[in-house]
Amino acid sequence: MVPMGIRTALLLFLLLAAACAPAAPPANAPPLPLPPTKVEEEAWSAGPEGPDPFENADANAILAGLNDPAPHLRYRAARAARRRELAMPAVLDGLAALLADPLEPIRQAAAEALAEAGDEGFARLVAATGAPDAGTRRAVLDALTSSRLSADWRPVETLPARLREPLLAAAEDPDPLVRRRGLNGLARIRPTDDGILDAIAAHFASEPEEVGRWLVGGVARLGSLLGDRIVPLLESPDPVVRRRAARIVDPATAGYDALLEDPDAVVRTIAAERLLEAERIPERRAAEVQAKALRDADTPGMLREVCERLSGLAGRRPGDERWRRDGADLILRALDKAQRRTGADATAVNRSLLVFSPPPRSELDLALAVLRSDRFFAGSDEDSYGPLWIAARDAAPWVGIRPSAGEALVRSARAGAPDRGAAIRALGAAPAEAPGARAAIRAAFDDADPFVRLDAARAWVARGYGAGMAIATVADALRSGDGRVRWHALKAAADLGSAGAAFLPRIRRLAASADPIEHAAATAALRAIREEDR
Amino acid sequence: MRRTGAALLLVLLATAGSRADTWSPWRAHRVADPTGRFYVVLTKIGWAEGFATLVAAAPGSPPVPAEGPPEIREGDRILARVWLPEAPYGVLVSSTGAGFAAIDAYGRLGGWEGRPTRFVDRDGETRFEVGIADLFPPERILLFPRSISSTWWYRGAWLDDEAGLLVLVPVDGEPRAVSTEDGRILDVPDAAIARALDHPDPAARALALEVAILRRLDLGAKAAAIRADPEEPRAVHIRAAGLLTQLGVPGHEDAFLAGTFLDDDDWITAHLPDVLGRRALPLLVKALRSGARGARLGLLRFGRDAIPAAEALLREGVPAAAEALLDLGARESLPVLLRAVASPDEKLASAALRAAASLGGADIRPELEALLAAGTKVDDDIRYELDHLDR
Repeated sequence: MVPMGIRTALLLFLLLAAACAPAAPPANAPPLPLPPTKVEEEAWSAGPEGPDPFENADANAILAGLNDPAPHLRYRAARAARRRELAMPAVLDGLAALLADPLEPIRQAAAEALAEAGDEGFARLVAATGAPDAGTRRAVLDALTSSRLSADWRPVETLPARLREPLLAAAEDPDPLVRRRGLNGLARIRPTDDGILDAIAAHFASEPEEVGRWLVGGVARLGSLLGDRIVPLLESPDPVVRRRAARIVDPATAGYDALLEDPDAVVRTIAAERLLEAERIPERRAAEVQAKALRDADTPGMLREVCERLSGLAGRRPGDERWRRDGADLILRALDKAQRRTGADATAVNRSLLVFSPPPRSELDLALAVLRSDRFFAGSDEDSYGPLWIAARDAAPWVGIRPSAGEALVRSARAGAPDRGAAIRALGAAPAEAPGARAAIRAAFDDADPFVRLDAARAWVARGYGAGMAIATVADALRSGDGRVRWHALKAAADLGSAGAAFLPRIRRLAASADPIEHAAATAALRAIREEDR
Repeated sequence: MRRTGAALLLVLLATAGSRADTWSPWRAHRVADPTGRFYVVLTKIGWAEGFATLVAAAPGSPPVPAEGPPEIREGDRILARVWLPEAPYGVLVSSTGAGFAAIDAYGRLGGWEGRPTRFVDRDGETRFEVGIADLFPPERILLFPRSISSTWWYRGAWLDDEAGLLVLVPVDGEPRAVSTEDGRILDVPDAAIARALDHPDPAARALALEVAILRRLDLGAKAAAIRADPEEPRAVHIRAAGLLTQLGVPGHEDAFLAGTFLDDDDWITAHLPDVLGRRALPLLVKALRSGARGARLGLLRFGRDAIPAAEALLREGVPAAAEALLDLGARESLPVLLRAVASPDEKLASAALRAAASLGGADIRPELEALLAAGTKVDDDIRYELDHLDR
């Protein structure tokens, strides 16, 4: 137990030390003492479920925590200061000192605490916008532009001049990430004076992509305040600037439609997406533009850009049947081709394929992905697998909606393919006829495997191609010495309905079988044939 | 047997639907490189985020154990400390002190939107961040087993310090590598697999032997050296024996087969066909009969050729044979399965019923009605299936 007098003296010492501490450690300060002690580690490891060392601590303990060598205690103390809305000068100074902490999460926690600590905290934040370290300036700008401004986007003239000036200064900062925050901050306060709007528009046109792409959202929020400042950028010779402008300008603006013919594939995808969103072009047209853009994207960067737009397009229309039927498949096939062209390392294409297959990550997607993969159709006798039958079954409902489903089934129904019977059954059960299905099923009548021949007979009948070809196959199978083949033949005979009458004597004999399974199948077949007859 | 077969087996698991899963809260801990000269201390804030501190052991100090509490020894030197927004699923530390790799995200493995796998160098700079969509094409990702939280793609990894590669081995066996210099994603050359057989981490050696078996690499000399080393762990020994057996070197098959029935290592059983070819079939039948883990996956490697053996096992009364027939999509076996539904062995009847209902659908309604009329041990289950056959 520490005597009370010593503890008080210790706290006083810490307060004094904090008051005397500089606002920020010098740039060449040695690294903070590491590592945490074992006791501290236990508190650290406890997480939010465990005891927070500052939960019931007084302001002095929090102040001590802000200066603690252990980073997790500094972090938690900054969080506690924010939660308790402490505005004592010593605490605010401690938080201001943490703005220069080497660890980003601690800088952020300190900046957020200051942003919510009233005018005194705000003043310390503004003062730190001129800090020498870019990391500090970024944390400060984050806090200034999010905590202070997100709740109400007031006209700039109603904001304290001390904020307007730091934002304008940040917009000209040498660090691009600070500039980005400054410009977005200016956009968020919805300025009305021409000087600021002109500056934003000028940066929008001239910033490198690492800044410019992040300005799009902020500038878009300005809407009509920008007037016509951005429209001329649609004709910029720089495609990157045209892309930015295409994202901002109202698609109802005269001449916007011409972007669908832009030489840059990314500009075309952006225009197609926005015109579709505004219902100014139909799904099919948008899909054609996107698919062409995928074909034209001849560099990895271009392909990535196009794919990023596609992902957004798919995400906004997850359950739209019309889109799926009219547009998505076209794009999906273009993505398939792009993947083959660019190889397995085409990350952007891969991501789009994953995102674009509606509904995301379902069993159906698995089935189609399996069917799409050429690995499964390599034609080697050594290829062996089982669950393609599941994929084939699940792909069947998509025939007629996605061409890829029908194509894959026809491909896997070919002679020699493993599980070709499953593909033939799926082609028979599909709600629509896949191109090439009839020929594939017909070819299977000559398969060496009697089960595949029976699958072909049943699919042939199910598709309404007539009973003629099926009858010979079924008759032959009903005479088989293999009980399994006879059982499947009885099922096929039942499918034939009245056309199965030719087999009645044979089926009656099988119905007398002592095997209950064969008996049940034969009886059901007799019933089906006679019911059809009536 | 082609190595693509391994991926296909996973369809079974994936199509079975997403499993529920739970994760314990992530724990702060320490991970050392295989030589014990460098280590990473992982501390946390919140549920699963925190700092990773890369430390060099003091020269001349004893090696740091591979894993331990999150402590930094007195006198050791801190090289870098970085914030990890998500706790890693695993950490590998370079034996040269070049840095460390944080593998994927704890609690949500294989999230395809993120890029949680990273390499942090000794200056604390992140050299790359990758996710599974960067590493594998979508059709391959969709074949990895899934649960509610995760895509279980990860089998293991090693750091190849000589070539500057992080080699990531997925559950389907064919690895990808990421350059720790510039983040390029690469196929893994056979030379890297050969080099990994000398890796100081036995887990890396075992993984490399698995890849060697799947690729049928002629690394007999190295495998023989491993077999001759009594200090090698069991898992490495067994895999080296497997590679030698695959290469036709006599005297190692028994050692490999000794791993067939291990409860904690079902890779061996599932990959018997890769080592023994068609000779594996009777062994897998035996393994299926005894309920060995991995036997169903191994049998699947034979595709439809395994159907007669599975049917014979079913007649023998082995319930797992019904599951194997279902995996194989053996629709022609429906009469055999339906007969097994009448078995007095309730476990066998139940397994056969599930398989028959999945494979036959509405086609088997008359047979199920007949079985119900005759009475079985699974009448309630038959009624349920009759209500759901037309789904």
